[in-house]
Amino acid sequence: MNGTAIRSVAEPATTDRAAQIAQLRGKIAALGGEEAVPVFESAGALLSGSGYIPGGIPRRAVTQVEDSPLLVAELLGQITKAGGMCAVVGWPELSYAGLPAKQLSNIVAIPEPGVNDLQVAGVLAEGCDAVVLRNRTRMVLTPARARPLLARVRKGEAALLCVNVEVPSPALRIAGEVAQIYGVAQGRGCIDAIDLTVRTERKGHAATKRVLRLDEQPRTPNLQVVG
Amino acid sequence: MRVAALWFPDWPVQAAQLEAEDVLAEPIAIAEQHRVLACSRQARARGVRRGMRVRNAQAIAPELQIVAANQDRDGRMFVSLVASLDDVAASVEVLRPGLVVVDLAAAARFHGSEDKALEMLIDAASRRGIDVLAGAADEIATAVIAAREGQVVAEGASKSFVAQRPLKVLSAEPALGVEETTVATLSQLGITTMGQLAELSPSAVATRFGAAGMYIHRIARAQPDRRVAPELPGKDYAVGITAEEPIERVDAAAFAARALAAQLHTKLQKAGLQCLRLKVVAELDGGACVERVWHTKEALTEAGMADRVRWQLDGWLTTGGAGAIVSLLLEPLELAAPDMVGQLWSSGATGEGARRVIERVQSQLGMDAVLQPVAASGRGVAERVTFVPYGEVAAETPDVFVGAIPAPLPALLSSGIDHPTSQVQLLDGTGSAVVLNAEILLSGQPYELVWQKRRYRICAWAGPWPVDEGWWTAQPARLARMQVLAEGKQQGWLLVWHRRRWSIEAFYS
Repeated sequence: MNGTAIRSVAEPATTDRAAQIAQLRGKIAALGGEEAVPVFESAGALLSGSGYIPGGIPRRAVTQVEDSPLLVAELLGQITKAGGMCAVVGWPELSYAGLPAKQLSNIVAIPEPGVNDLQVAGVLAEGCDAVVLRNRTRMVLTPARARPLLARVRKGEAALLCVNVEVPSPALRIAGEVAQIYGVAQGRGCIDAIDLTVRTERKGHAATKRVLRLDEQPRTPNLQVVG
Repeated sequence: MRVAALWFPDWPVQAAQLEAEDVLAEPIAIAEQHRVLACSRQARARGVRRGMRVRNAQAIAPELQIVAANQDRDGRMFVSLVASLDDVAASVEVLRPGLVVVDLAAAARFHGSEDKALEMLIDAASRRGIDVLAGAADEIATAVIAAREGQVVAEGASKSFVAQRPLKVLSAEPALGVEETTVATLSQLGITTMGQLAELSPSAVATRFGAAGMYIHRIARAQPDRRVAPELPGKDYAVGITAEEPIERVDAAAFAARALAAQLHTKLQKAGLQCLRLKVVAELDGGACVERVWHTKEALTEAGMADRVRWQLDGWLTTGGAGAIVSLLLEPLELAAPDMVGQLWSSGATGEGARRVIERVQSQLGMDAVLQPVAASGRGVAERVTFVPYGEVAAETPDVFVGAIPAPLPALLSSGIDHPTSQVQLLDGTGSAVVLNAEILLSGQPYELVWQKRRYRICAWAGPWPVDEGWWTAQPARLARMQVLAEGKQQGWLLVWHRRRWSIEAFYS
């Protein structure tokens, strides 16, 4: 007979769905320490080669990202694809045009947060899955200034991605750099693929370097040369 | 469609008499700004007319009793009458105090016949000392005109009925909303009856009198207009509180907010409704009013409502510098029946928390600072995404345009193609500028790109792809786009040719 597997009696049966989810998540966290944003576990299947950020982006911690809009847009695309909620604070020039229209509803942009950008990012980190905090000019946060922000990040569930904002001792550093742009010649073609070199540096791990290819599915040509 | 109209002649006079409980002696006139607004039948018999100066009216009839006009009184007295009409017909619309229209077809179906329904309506409105006339016709405007004579116009006979009426009936009834000057001009031109007006061709009236003329023409030709629209409930749900002492502290405000939200929630719960849009109005001790409307995608719960009111008050008290709050009003602007399916199936574990924090930020920075990207139609990069305030429902997803820049798209926009920092120069091998001619051909092979003080050697380019759109609007866009790569193929730009110069639209970086 189906459905008569042995039920664990040690745990109290929770009727509340939210409580049940919380309980299961707690189990996962107990097994593997830092809990990664789930999308990056399957990132390897989505991208060419293995995952370009080994180990994923840690939740409840700060990740330092170099000023690489293509990489950030790609990360936003991957997180929202898995249903995660993202917030982008202080980056009016970032374009979301490359993301599928359906996923845009999972993004919130605060292009002009004013002087309280750290506080805004902190509040958002309490409820979102990923928060991108960007400053126009390079800003180095002293430990005293970073403390309230980090406290909020630890309290919430979000992965905080800092661009142009230096936080003391981030859990992960990611740098993305355009390695090669393909598809264009002298007056012919159009850009059809971009290679990004993604470098990661995690505390207590060796630095990695992977190449991430951004491209579309091959399009069928409308015009063909005959003869 | 059959419409019945009930007209209470000289309603301001009747209302004044009702309020004074018949102690006012005839003849009576209602005055506003030294002019007669309405007068009783006896006063009219003595020669008093609407619009006459009070002084002249008193000269004609020295015993004339003058009562100051009070629209509030007119409305208040009318409410009880409308309530009794509601017992007879389901769809009652108040055009103004003293004039209602009723969906007669529905009432006739329910009560058996039109005559019976009309009789019941008149019975329901009858009170001691109250005068009422009923009329019925196929359209609202015709029914209102018929009610002034107490006539029932047979089905399909509206046109011939209206044709015989003088044009002046239009200006006699303010609820018809006819422009006085147009009626005056028409009568100056020799048109005295509605029939004469109806004979004119619509285009002749439209070209000479515009929308106002067409409106009168429609009435004269007895054309079908809108349906009877009874007032829908919603306003009554507003709850308010007036603090004994002005609220100055945030914790006191939070307490008031919680109580008020609970009150509103219970009220809505009893009515089986959920609030989607909430207006918070606070009156300050200076007498000024501040208000803010909250939109939500999901229905507001009691805690959600309380949170919003508390954040709002918090904002007003701590940062706004608005002063102490004297009274507080919560008005649900948009209500909907609960969506059970959504409640059952949405897991909403992270969505709920995200919504909460985003709304918290919204309360700090304002509705317009927290945005949500929405896909828009366009061929470039910047125009393919627009922003709406978070929580507002976005328009439908647009189609993908033919000729749009293909993926992978650049992720960094410039400051705008007209911004000075986006301007670049394209040079060919001889150092002269590369421009685009009328045939969308480059004047030379691009060799170098000069942006601000930097120079980049160009190794590849694609395009130009011309775009000629919006030529039917006031701001046509005639541009051409080109992808340009610097040597080493590690830097790319999307350039736009606009107003005879090149500028950067986006960066591939």
